[in-house]
Amino acid sequence: MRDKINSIQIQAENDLSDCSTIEDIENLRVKFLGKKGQITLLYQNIKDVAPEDRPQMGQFINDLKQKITSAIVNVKDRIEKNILQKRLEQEAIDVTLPGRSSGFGKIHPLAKTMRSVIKIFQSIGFSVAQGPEVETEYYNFDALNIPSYHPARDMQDTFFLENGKLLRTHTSPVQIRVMENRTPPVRIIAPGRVYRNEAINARSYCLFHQVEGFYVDSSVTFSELKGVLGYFAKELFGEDSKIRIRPSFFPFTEPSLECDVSCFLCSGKGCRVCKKTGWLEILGAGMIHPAVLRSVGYDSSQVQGYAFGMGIERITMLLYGINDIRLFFENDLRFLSQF
Amino acid sequence: MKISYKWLKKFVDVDYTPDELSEKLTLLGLEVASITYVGYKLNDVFAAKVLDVKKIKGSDHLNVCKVRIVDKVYQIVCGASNIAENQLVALAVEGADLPCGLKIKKTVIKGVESCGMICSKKELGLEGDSTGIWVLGNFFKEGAKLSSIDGIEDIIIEIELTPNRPDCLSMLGVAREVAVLTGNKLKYPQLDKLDIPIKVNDNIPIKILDSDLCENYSAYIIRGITVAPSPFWLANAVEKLGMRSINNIVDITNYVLMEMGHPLHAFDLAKIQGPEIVVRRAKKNESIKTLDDKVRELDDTVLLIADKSSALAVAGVMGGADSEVTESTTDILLEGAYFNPVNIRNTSKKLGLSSEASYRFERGTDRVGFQDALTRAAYMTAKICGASSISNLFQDEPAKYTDNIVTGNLRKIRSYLGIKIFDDEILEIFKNLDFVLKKRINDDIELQIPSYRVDISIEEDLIEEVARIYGYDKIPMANPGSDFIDPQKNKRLIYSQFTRDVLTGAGLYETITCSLVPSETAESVNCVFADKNYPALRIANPISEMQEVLQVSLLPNILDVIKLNTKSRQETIRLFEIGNIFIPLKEKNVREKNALCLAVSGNREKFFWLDSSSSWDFYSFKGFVTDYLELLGFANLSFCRSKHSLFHPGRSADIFIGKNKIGAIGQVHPSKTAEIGVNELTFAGEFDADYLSENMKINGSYCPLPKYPAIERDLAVVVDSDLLFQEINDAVNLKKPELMESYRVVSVYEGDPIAQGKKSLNLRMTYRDREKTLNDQEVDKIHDDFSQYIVLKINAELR
Ligand SMILES: [Zn+2]
Repeated sequence: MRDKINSIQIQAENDLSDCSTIEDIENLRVKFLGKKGQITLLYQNIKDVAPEDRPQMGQFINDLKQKITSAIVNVKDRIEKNILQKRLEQEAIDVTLPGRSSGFGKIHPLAKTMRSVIKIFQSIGFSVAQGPEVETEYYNFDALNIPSYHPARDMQDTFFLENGKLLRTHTSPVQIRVMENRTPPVRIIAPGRVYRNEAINARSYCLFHQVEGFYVDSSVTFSELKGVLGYFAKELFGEDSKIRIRPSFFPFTEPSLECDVSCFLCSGKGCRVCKKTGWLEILGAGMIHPAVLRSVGYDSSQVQGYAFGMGIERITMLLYGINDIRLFFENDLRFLSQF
Repeated sequence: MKISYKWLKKFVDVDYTPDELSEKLTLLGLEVASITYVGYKLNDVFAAKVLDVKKIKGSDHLNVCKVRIVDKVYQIVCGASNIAENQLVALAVEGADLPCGLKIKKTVIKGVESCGMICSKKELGLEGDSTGIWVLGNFFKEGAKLSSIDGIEDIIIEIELTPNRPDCLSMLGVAREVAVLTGNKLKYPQLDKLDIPIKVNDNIPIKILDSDLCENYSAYIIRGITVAPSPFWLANAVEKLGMRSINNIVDITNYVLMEMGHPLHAFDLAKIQGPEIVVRRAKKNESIKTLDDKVRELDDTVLLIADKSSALAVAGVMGGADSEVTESTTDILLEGAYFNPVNIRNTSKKLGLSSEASYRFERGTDRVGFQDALTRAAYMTAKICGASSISNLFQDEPAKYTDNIVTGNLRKIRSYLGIKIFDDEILEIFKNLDFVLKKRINDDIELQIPSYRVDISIEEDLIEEVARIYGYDKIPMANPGSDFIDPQKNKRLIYSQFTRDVLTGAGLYETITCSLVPSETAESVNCVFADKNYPALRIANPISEMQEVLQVSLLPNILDVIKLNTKSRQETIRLFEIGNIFIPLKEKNVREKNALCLAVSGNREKFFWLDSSSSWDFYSFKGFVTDYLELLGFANLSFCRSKHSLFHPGRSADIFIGKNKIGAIGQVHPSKTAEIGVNELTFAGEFDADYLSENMKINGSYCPLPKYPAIERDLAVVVDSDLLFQEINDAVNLKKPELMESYRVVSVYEGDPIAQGKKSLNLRMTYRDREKTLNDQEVDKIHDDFSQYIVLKINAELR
């Protein structure tokens, strides 16, 4: 019996070392551990051993079974690993080839600037309002203290419509519409599309986008306006940006100002874009003219406020160094994908 | 407007360099656009006498000239056609480095040595464009170095004036500002000393018939003058500021215009009938030939300067050709007046005629100070044109001018600006501006405004003056107002931002196109949201036929964008635009609507080396659209065939939510894609963004996850081929069993063994009870009943 056990062990060891596939292992398992396997036979033959030797023999067979079982597991494990290894090797691809891209789209550069501008003013308590693009002369001019004979109407050539209305030349009519419907305090920005009857070229287009803002309350000051503009410039153009304000003229504000931001292209040293001045003109503003406040029924002795307006195209062109406004409206994907 | 730095210095001491001055003026509200140095680098250019001119043999235009500078004679080759013997010319000698970039060296031209160049004004940087060489007048002495002649070297500063500051449309006006800026004293131009008789009674009658349009008309008569070219300094002065030198009379009025800002006009006295001056409205059918030799038809809104019989000038705009001063003129009437700005503006617009005069009159001139300008010009004329006598200033009874008094409050000035400034400082600013303090009671002040400041009428104007002179740059930046105001949610903004994020994330690029389109474009497409198609609203004054009408749909423009990008060989084109469309209504009314447009063309995905990308088809585009709408919270969409002209009639659908048509999608009509040369598989859609932003629900709502399993059952039906799925969907939604959670289309099949004209549809229903586990019998019962209902409702057969 002992010899038998030994020889089975030797045979199993030899067989195991010959195994190279999962099938070989399975065959081996059946051969030794199966229902008719050699180990099973050994258990059956134990009855032929003298009774006093049986426990010891049983122990031997158990040990052998244990050895073969764990050896099978080990070898099987090894073979599986090899197979997996081979499969992985076969599955290798050139990971440096380009991937399949579906591609993201992008927001239009004007919408992107518009969003930044809106966000800045929302962060300091401005709400957003909108108004129609088809306007009346009253809202676009008269209510804004621009009477029909005023030379200021020369400053903005207007598209008139066959129905007697016009395409708004600025977003300022929204200011009137909002004030007509609300009592102070009001703090609003009005983004939107405006139109100018100008020949189309690299510098001008028949429409553009504006953000108008205004704040009316009992004691709003000119220096607050300057503070708001300074904050805006830093947020949009960077921490180091400075503003310069200088007197200007708009019929709907008094005093009026034009606001320049320090040229971020040359850090104020003077370059082609800022015409060597170190400053870039970005917006117009001022204290709302009392005639405008009166036109919406506000008491100009009780409330005062400021208003400002900026062109999104101009700011976007400055931010990215774009030199032709028509690019915005052509929508060439090679252009749009850059922002 | 151009100003001369040298000229300016005659009126006020300026310690600033031109650059510094420009910066200061800009900060004062007179924005400087450019600084140009003229007449510099002329150290080696001399006034030289042409002694001899001979053609060079073998050349049809070149001359060899002998030119003398005092005692030295130079041989010069010159090609100008206007050269002649005895002329005084500007000779640039060897070593000259001219403003035009030429460096003068000895050269040999056609075998002839040339030792310098006879220059044109352009080459000397004195004029933009010249024909021929500059022939110096007798005002130059032979041998004079050009750079040493007063007025040649100058710095021209161009100012972009805002329309509210006509008082600065002159040298004197700018000088006034500089005087305030520097604190230096303003030096008014002094009248020339005359040694000719002043004829006190030499005048003609002046009748102002329309005093609402002309407040005052004044004149001088100057006799015995000689009309001739202007002396150099005078011609040079007006030319430097961009005007042409005509003759001494015209140049003097222009000189004074530039100097003092008031337009003046000279008539040939001999051509005035009567002689008398009548200031009146034009009669019906009256006309006048203006100085530019054009006949202008007039009407009774136009103010005229006339004589006894006919019009002499369009008041404030332009003189008449018939009363023009010519070389034979000996006596002139020099006029100055104050005209109504609105009337001049209307006349100028009506006649399509504007001039330096109308430009100033329509902005508002100095209704008092103009007489000083008139007198200044009259005395200059008498002196320069060799007059034998001059009259006194005479006028019709002038309208009484009431002083412009503006009241203000010192406390308000401070609080409006938010600056700390003492009363005395404010009052000092007003004093420097020549605003005369008439009265002061505590903080209330009353100021008399000088007549040239037509822009000052209310307290806020005073505040601006204080801010301007105090310095906008010195005003501190205060924190933005911090009062809490209820923030207003703007649904349209939230919608558009959300949509931009979602669609760009899905691979679409945002476009922005022009809302003005050619009329054919608008005619070629019907509006998705209009019940009835009226013609698109037209621009009354278009500048180009490319921008003639307001768009009724975003689709045509986005197709143009596809066309452009197809041309530039883009293979994957996925676009969207959010913009306003203008729906035409009856009687040329218009409804503005915010719309969203989507469009895809070409490959669904970008090119990939392994396999060719799939194209879009109707269902992939529709799926994309419904995914987007679902994200906005719109689930119960219904579809029907669209009749939209831009779409393939069999592959397009209108989309409804309840009764609201919220959009239309489809394959772009193959004849359209062929016409514009883009991929036939191009799909587009337009949506009512107003509806979507008003009704969207993007915040979601929570429903607990199901605890019990669902059971699925299939329903296979055979229906007519042309039955739209929408009918089945409507039937399902109408009587959806309570326990039916959802259903979907599993397959649609036409062909053998299904009969011709029929199709088979396989639907899979999902049933679930949220309270317990359903058993098969329960589900079978519900499903069978429901199947029966569907089959009956849509006239189908069970399969
Ligand atoms: Zn710069």
